Amino acid sequence: MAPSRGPEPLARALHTTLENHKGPVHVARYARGTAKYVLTGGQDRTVRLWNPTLGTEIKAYSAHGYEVLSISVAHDNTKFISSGGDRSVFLWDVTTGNTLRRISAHLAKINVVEFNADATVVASGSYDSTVKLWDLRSPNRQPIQALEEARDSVQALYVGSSRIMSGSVDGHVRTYDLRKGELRTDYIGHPVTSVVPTQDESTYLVMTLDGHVRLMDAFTGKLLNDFSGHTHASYRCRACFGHGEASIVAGDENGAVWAWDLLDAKPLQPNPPPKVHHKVITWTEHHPAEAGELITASADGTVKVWRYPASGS
Amino acid sequence: MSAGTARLKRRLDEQGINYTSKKAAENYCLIGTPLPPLEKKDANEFVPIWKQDVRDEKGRRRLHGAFTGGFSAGYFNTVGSKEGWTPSTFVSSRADRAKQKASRPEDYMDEEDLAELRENQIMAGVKQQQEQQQGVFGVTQPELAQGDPEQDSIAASIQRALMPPLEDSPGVRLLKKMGWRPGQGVGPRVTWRTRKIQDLLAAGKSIDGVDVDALDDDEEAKRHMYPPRDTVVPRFSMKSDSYGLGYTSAPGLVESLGQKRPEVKGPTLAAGFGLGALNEAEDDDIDVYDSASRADRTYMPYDSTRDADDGANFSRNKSNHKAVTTTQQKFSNGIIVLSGFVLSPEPVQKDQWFPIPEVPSGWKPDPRRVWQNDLNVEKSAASTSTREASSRRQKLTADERGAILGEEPLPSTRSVFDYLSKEDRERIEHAAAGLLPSAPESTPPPVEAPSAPSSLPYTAPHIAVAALKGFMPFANDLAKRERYVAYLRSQSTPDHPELLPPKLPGQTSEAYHRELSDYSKSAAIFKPVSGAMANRFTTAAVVDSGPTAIEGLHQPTHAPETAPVSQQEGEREKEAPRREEEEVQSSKAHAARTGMYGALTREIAPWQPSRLLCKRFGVKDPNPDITTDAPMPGASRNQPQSQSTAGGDTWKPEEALAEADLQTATGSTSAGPSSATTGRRDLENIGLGEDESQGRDTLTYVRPSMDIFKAIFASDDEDEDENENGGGEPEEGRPEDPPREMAMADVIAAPAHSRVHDTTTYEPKTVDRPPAGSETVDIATFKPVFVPRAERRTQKSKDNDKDKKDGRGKDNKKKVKSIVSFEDDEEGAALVIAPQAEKDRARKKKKRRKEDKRVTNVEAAGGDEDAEMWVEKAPPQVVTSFVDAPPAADEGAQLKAALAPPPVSSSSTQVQRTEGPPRGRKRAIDFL
Repeated sequence: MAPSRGPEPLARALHTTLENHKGPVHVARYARGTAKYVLTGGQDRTVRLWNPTLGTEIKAYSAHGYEVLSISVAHDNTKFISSGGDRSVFLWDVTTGNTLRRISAHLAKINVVEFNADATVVASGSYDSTVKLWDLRSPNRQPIQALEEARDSVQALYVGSSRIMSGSVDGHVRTYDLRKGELRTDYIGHPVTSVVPTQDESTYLVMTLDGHVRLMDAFTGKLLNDFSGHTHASYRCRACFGHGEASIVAGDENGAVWAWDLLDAKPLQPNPPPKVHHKVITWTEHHPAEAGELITASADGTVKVWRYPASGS
Repeated sequence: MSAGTARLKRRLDEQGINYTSKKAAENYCLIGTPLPPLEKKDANEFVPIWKQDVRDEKGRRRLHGAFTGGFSAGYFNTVGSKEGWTPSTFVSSRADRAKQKASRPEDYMDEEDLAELRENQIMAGVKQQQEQQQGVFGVTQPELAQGDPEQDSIAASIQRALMPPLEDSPGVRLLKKMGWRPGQGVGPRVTWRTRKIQDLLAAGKSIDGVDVDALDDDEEAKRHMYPPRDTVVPRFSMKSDSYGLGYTSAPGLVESLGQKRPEVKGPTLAAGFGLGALNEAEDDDIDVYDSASRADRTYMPYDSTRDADDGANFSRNKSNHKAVTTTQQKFSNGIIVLSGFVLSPEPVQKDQWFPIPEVPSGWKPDPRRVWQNDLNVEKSAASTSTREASSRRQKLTADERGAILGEEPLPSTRSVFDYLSKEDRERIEHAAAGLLPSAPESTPPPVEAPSAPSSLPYTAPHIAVAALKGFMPFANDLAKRERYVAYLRSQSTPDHPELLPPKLPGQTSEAYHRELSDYSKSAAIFKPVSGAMANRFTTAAVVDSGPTAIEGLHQPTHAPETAPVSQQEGEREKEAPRREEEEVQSSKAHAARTGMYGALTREIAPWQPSRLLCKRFGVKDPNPDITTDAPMPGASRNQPQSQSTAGGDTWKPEEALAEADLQTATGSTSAGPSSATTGRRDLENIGLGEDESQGRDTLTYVRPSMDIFKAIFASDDEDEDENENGGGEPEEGRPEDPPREMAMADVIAAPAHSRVHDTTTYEPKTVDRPPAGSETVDIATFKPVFVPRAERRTQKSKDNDKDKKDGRGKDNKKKVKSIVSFEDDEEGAALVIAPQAEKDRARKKKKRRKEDKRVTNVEAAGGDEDAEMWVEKAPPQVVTSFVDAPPAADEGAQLKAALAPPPVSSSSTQVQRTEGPPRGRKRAIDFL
């Protein structure tokens, strides 16, 4: 849908609830490609693979010794990586459920991991305030490079085709431009919990702990839009773009899913949104292709799949 | 021993003797202890740790390694067969089922296990006995009686009947032999009444409120005596807290509300990867989102209030609510309590609020009135204070006690207050000023009569002197301070009582006395501490004083109050630039706060992605020159690209060569690449990215003309040829003439490159140089002239012929500046050195020959004169030999050469050892 016609309303009809996790769910990611599957990771030290349409759990991956805080799926859906409290990055084979590799060199829990485009490099951002880049092609135990600029825990990462963006609790978003060989540090001023750029990487969305989601210009570092209204003060929440990047979706700490118009920064109806989770929504992710699908993971132990009422049935 | 055995074995092996045969092992020893047989292992023989194995008392191997069965696994060690357990043959038990006995665990145990079992049984036996003893002496019965109130007596008796009879402990057996029966306590028989009391006590009740006599209702029972009850063994519960004995902590908030105290327990960790015994359930592992829905919640991060109206509320709370909310509660003023809320039985303690004082109409602030008031208060306080003082007489300080007892006051030099910062002192003073008038800290010494002027407060002179030097209190009351100082002066000079501050007009003698005693106390307080203590304090750098709220309407006090205010302002002024600095520093933060994102909040810095990262991302390296590759562990980051053969401080031959080559071959007078731009080149900075001159010498290297190499290296071959031809030509120095001169030019040029060099080394050269052959060499423009090889050869052969003819070359003597001169021989001057020189030369020659070969190889490989074909390592080595050779010509240089051996010593020393001496010897023979 063209953004000019305004954003589509958010999918707010509950399609299924994925609730096999015991304890909070920290992360829920769509698979790549057509994104027919969902991977979730939670406090119960497992990563679970779901079919969001049917709401069934396909597989549970358990090797973590601590909570799973982050998951990233490889471009070909054959592998995924997860990380968490046990200070190591696990590379999993999706079908067998084995860990192919366990990379442990961080000093503290790893908040976020990301693959690069062709799953040759893994970036891991940790509480030890470093981002480390790992080569998956070689069994080298040392990282390719460690990005140690952050002064506090790294909470968000984005690995693009030629840039790596990291969001840290020190209130900075750092863009490591490989092509230019420069580091652009944008000071947001509040602990950053998520950094999600647009597909063209010209803007990025920053969610900070002051209860604001900001759309920043990646070239100049200027503020393009500011979205607020939700409650966000303590936990890692994630804001993402809605379908066609026409809207902003974010879950808040009350368990409500907020949506804003990208252009006029007004919250979409209903405003305020209803409370759909009992606890803080830890992860919000919009379906990469489908217009009306959205998943939210919450600390109440459930992952909810939202669709339009029509498409749901 | 073992070494000897091994040697003997080897020798026997060599001789072809089979020492394992019986014959060899036969013992012929008649006297003494025979040596242990070769085959049998000596018990004390050293066995490396990997050859050692663990055997049990029967000599069986017990450990087989993790992959070969582990500890005591079955490979024909412990169990029936080589295959493992002995397969038992099937025997039909159909016929004799009755005989079939169940296999016990003991059937599968080996003797070790059985031994262990037996040990355990012994242990268990002892334990059982202990238990029995406890049981007999009264634990069981009262427990059965009191522990389970629900269990009726029939059940108890049944239980007792069903319970297996306990075996008697030795003590019980002894008692039984003495006529004691279980159930009867130990001791003489007691009356019914006593027994009742005992029963009560055993049941844990107190006998205070019970009418014991009322219990004896049975007349018949009173007539008999009864065995006493078993003594209750007191059971002590382990003390698990750190409170004092008998202390029961007050119930916490949760318990006082009638709820169970939540048991804090850590999450149970799954056995995950990488989790060892050291991994604890840390705070990280506690669910941060955890809420009250769990009984064992530890803290409420966010939903304590919000979830109250939530649909999914917690059952526990609900039940509580229901119980209460059924009855409508009302506040005291009649308002009905909202549904879902409970009125707390305890009234909330209100914050203390002070009413705003009513300002009378037409009131004007007049501080003087207040001060007047203060003075009045002070007066009245003064009158009351003595009364208070007398009531507090028993509160004596150590000093006062000491004064009463007539102790010598402790010597002191400095006061604690000297170490306090100014602000702190002021604060204390304020506090003191507020306190002293109304309530003096302690009483004046009681020995003094309050009104007697003769017994005015006394301060020891040394204290007074010290206090005079130390900190001065009463900074906010200058008049008072003056009086204080006067008092101190008077006390420091006890002979002059007239120095005492006079009584103020209108001041009562009591007030005066009190004032003076205040001074005396102040002097005691503010006197400096003794030296030992003094070192332990440092002045505070920063005073951390938060904002202090003064309750009530602000009332202006005495005039000196203005001083601190101005000081505060001063502080503020001081802080202002600091704050400004911070502001400048955090302009970024400011911009972010005001939403001015953009250039202000953005910092751009160069960043070098790793080359591998660029490769993985398919991006061209933005700065290909810089490498940020993570260094391999163990490898140093600074990989020297060119091998420097000499030490950091020593003269570097490759530089000299490069320069000399540049100057000789191209005639350029520009300074050498390394000497001019970078002061030092050594292993630390060579080959680094910052080194601008890196690789420049390879790029700018101009290959010297072929003649140089020929001149240097070809000559040796010729020499070699001559030697091999058996010419016995001792004069090998001569053909090296051109290179030697070259080298000399280098060496002499070296000091010009600010290389420290011992010039004395070269003196002999210049001295030795025959005036005819050597026209003065201009170093700057010096250019060796080379004679073509063929020509030279012919010339040399001619010389050789000449030499052969007359045995010694007189021409050579003139040309060659060599110590190996036969002139010297004749004169007998340098005979001592000569052979060494010969040796040395031989050494060098050998080396040179080697390098010749290398260089010619290089030349062969890079036949063209392309600079890049030059292996960078080659020049230094060439040069070392090149440089080494000429110094052989003189004594000093030779010494130097000996002191600083060439770095390529591994080969050269080899040469020295093997080739040098024989040749030298041969030479000597030739010479003599």
